[in-house]
Amino acid sequence: MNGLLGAQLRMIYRARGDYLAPVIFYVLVASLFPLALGPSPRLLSLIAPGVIWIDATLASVVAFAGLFRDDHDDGSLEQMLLSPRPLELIVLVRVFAGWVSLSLPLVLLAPLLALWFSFPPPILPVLLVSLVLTTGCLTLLGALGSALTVGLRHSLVLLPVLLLPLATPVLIFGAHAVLLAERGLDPRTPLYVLAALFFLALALIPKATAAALRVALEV
Amino acid sequence: MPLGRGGRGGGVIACGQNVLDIEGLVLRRGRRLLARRVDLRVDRGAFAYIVGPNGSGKSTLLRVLAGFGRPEEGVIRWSGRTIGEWGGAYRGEVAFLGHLEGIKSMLTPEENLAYRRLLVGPTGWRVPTPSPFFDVSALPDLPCQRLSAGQRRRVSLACLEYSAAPLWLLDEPLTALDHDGIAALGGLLARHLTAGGTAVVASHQPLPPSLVPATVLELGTKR
Repeated sequence: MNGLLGAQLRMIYRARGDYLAPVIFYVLVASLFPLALGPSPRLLSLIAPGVIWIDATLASVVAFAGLFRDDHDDGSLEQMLLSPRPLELIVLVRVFAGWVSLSLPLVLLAPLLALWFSFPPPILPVLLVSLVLTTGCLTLLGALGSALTVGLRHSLVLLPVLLLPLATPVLIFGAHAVLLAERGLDPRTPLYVLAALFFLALALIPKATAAALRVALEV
Repeated sequence: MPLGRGGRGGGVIACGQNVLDIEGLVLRRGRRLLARRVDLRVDRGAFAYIVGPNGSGKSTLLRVLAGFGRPEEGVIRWSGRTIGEWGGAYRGEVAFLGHLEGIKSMLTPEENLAYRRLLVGPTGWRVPTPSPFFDVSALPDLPCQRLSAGQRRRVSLACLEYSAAPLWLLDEPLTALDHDGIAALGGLLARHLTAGGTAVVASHQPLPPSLVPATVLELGTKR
């Protein structure tokens, strides 16, 4: 599996321009809020968790729409399906490579965004932990959405409609953890729920994605 | 070369290793009926040649044989077992070359070969008799998106050359190949058959004269 992951990461690195766009989108959208709402530190720190979450969700949806599109268009999906290796495992490798290349930059840029929103620095660890779990869930959901819409012409319009309702619980608990921490309360409960959601997704989604990919290639 | 028989032999099915036997297969694409009853038997070391006009169901037949979707009616047996009975193990039996190359445009030819090797695993991979035409190291060491259509075709045929799968399903394999390429593909297929493999080839181009199909199946004709 290491070799497969290496090959995936190499392909992503060669096409790095395509993977940079969602990251730039993420930074640009966040930068619009202080401009539109005014630079009041109190207001900005109040809305920061919500803004960062909605922004990360939208960037993920945009980014993961095409997770399996290339594989479908160049025929390598057929070869993936004919591989004697479990398709779920290949999907998982793909999802992990997608997380490293698309979601990890979002997590790493979050402190920069937090700075713009005069976000209190002591809460940064909570922000980062919940963002890691949130983006993990979103990557898995994105993979499922991408597999369900692969081969459709208007997937970029359909995908948010499909994914955003599923992403809502993740958004609620992720943003709530940070809100609690901001108010000096214990953020662990929503973080545990978030972790539970992540592991649930990790257990179920690769199987569902593999099934969706098989259906997508049915005659 | 063993001769293929029409199929329906009174219900007695004697299937040996690497024998493909199709009985009463109904081909559909969406709601459209493509072929009412396909019967085909391909013996070990032989290949069937599927002909027919565009849209007659050649590709659909090959995709069903590859296990992409289950046939509504009819039975496909490979080495005596239906695809359903094979389960996941069937995937290791098949090498499929479709209209799409199945190679990654961001990887160089050699990286593509390595990637395919990772996908099929060590048991599905064998080192072939070298054939100069499909030697990927002779191709430019560039991402495949910068190669010509014919060069990309050579990469995907090179992947086929390394495949140890006994059943080859080739859909229009001659596309984008030059004269030498067609001859080289003929040699590749002949070696596969001599080694005891089986193949189903769909094409509307004439095959090289060295290749004599055991069965010719014509799709899309009014019956």
